[in-house]
Amino acid sequence: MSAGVRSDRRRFRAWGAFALAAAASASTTLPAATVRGRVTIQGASERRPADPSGAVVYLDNLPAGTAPPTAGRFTIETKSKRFTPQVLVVPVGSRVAFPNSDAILHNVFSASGGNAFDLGLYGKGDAKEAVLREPGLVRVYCNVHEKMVAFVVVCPSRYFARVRDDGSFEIPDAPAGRYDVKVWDERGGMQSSSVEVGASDTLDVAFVMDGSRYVRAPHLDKNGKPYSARASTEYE
Amino acid sequence: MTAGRTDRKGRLKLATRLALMMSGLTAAAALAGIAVAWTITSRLEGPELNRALDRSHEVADLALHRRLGNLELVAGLLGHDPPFRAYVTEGDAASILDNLKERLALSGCDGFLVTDRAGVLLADTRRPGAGASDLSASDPIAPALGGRAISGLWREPDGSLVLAAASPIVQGGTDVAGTIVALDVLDDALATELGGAAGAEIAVFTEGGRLPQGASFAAALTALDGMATPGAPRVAIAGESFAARSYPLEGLGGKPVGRIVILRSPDRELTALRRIQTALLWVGALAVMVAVAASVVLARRITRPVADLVRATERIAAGDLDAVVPAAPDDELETLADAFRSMVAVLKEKADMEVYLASVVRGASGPAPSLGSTDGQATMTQGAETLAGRFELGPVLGSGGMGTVYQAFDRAVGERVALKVMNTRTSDAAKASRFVQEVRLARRITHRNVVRTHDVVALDTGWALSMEFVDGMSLAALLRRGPLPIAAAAGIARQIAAGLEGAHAQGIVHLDLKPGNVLLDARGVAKIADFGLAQTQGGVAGETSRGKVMGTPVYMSPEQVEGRAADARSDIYSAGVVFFELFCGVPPFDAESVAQLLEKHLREKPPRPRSLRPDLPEAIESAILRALEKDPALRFASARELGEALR
Repeated sequence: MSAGVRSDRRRFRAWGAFALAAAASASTTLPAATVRGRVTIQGASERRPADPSGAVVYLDNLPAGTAPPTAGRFTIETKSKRFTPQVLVVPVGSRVAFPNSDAILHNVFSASGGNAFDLGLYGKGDAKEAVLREPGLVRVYCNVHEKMVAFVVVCPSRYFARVRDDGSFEIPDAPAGRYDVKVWDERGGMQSSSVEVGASDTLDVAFVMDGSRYVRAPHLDKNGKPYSARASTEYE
Repeated sequence: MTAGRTDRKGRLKLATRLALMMSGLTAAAALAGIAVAWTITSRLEGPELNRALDRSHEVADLALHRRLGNLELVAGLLGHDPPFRAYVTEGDAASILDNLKERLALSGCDGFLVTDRAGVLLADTRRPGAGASDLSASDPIAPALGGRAISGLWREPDGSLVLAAASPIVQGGTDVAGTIVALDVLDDALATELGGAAGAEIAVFTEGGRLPQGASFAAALTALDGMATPGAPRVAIAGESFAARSYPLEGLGGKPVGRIVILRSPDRELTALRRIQTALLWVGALAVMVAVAASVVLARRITRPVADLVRATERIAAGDLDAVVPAAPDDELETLADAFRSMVAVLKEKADMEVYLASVVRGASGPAPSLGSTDGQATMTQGAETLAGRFELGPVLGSGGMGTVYQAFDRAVGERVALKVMNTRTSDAAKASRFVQEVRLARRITHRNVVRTHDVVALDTGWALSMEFVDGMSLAALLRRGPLPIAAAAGIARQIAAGLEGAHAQGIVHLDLKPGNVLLDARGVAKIADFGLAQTQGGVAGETSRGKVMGTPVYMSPEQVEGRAADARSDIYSAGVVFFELFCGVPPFDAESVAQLLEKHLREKPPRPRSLRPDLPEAIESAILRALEKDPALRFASARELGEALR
């Protein structure tokens, strides 16, 4: 819930994300701008920030006429009852394959809006695909194994990047104009920052997100029922 | 004198009896407590034990059913879990096992069996590699395949006894995709757990043999092999005695699958109580020991003064009058000791007096000073002269200004008496009647230290007075032998004071107290004679029979000298003079003439007795001097005070 896509964007502005527009330094010969920056996620411990490498950054609400995104093919493997990678950012319309490397059957599904899918039970060596046609966050689960969770951020533009281990990111060849820089992280949720970028600017954007109170909430199975009701965790 | 624990008559001494009684009571109380505790703890055995076994069985049964209930819940949940059903439908053993292993950890079950819709084994978590056997006819699977959940004890095909809960695997309608059985193995661990809940040891037998599982009870089971029958015999296992009772175990479908044996160790259960019993014994023994010691100490402390007094009494009874009467604590015992001390003092005084008188008699040269002699007996038998037809006159005991005293036998009362025949012949009727009156008054005095006046008899020649006969001598005779030992003198002085006190109590004064009027019997009892005679005889001063210059005036008080009113205090003055002479050997005043003597009584301060008798105690000296005060008001107010001052 707390990691969900927020419709209330004012909250993110209020978060005080700020952008520094640095004057394009040297060459005006390069037509493209660069959006780069740093994401800091406050963890439960004040001293040590949470790992930011699960965050993704993309540009949204681009000016008209900007080149559309190009769909691609991506893979999330099920191995040792885990999704690998756990976070994926893909352009809208992409295909994501879920090959099963485990000896047991898995049932990959998602209930996330227009991107919902249920790949059914399949065993080792099989790989089933889902096509993600709507921008937004897609939560991917296994109907058998509650602990298996993956996130796919379906990006509406061709400009996106994964945040590196040190929190830095860089989107090269960014278009000029006014648009939003958005960041998503499971712990920190969604943040957005409006920027105006010149043709060959290098824009630094810093995001500070609060992940200190994040707890992954239990989710429902593909039939909309809690896993706990069928497991005997209440055995006494 | 009375060493040991018994007195002379062989009875237990007071201290011993007290100590025995107190320790006995304490010991009895301690023993009673222990006995009660013992009875209560002992009652826990016997029938109570059988009931305890039944209760334990009920609790164990309840615990079994509770576990079965949990197994039902787990099997039911899995049977209705869609993903699980999907796995079963797929028949994928690896996925099913993987899933069940997760459930095992969560549910705490020992294992699961899963069959397909035909009852063929798909997965067995305890035997992952087991072949696909057909279980469709087995007790739990058959009903589950028919869509009915079931639970109970089940003997598996391999003989293991398990708690099993079977559920069909269904979704929505009645389509049975397979069955799931949740299992708990009825093994040692479970038996121990049940035993823990039931507060007993529990062993389980399968029908027809011993339960294969069960290592820790191996020895017990060996011993119990022959016990799989009802009843509650005792059985010894590894040196410990158990009460045991076995109950049938009913399996699925009502089949008997074995027996459960409940064992309780009374010894172990009673260990705490036994410890209490032991502690009680120790505490009791300690209490008794302490109580005995305390009793002995306490009894000694209580009875020691008594024992001391007893010892002193025994010594005194044995004749040792010098024995010291011990001081006692300040209570009744001290009062007793004081009384005893004064009694001893009196005894000692008497004894001293007797000793002294005996020495006087032995040392007497010439005629004995005794007033009474055995001649009297002979005289009386002679029956020489009879006065007034009543008194047989004996020898003359003495004579004085007032008359002659005879020893006589009073026929009227059949008693030996002293008969004083008055010289004075009075023709004055009034004076005569006053004399009779005075004598009658004097008759009222009945005191140990006063010569009893019996009667006054009218004679032709005058009056005769019959009195108590005192077989002894007068103090005057005694004094002629010189001063007395202080103890003897003090004893006589106190008796004189006591005699005066007795007379004064009757309102009678003597007014002519002198050594000649004090008689001493052979036991040293002093008796004052001639009470009531002085006043009526009147003016006796100077009337000395033998013409002695020193007659009665020697003892006369200043107020009598001056002719003023005399009273009891005049007797005290005279007593002071007598006492002076008694202790010092001479009277305080000596003179050539009566006039000088009387003058001295009036004016001269008496000498200090200690100047004449240095070993005289100061208390006696000051008592004498106070009695000799010229002013009656400065003397002792009563003879009692005088007597007390002499103590």
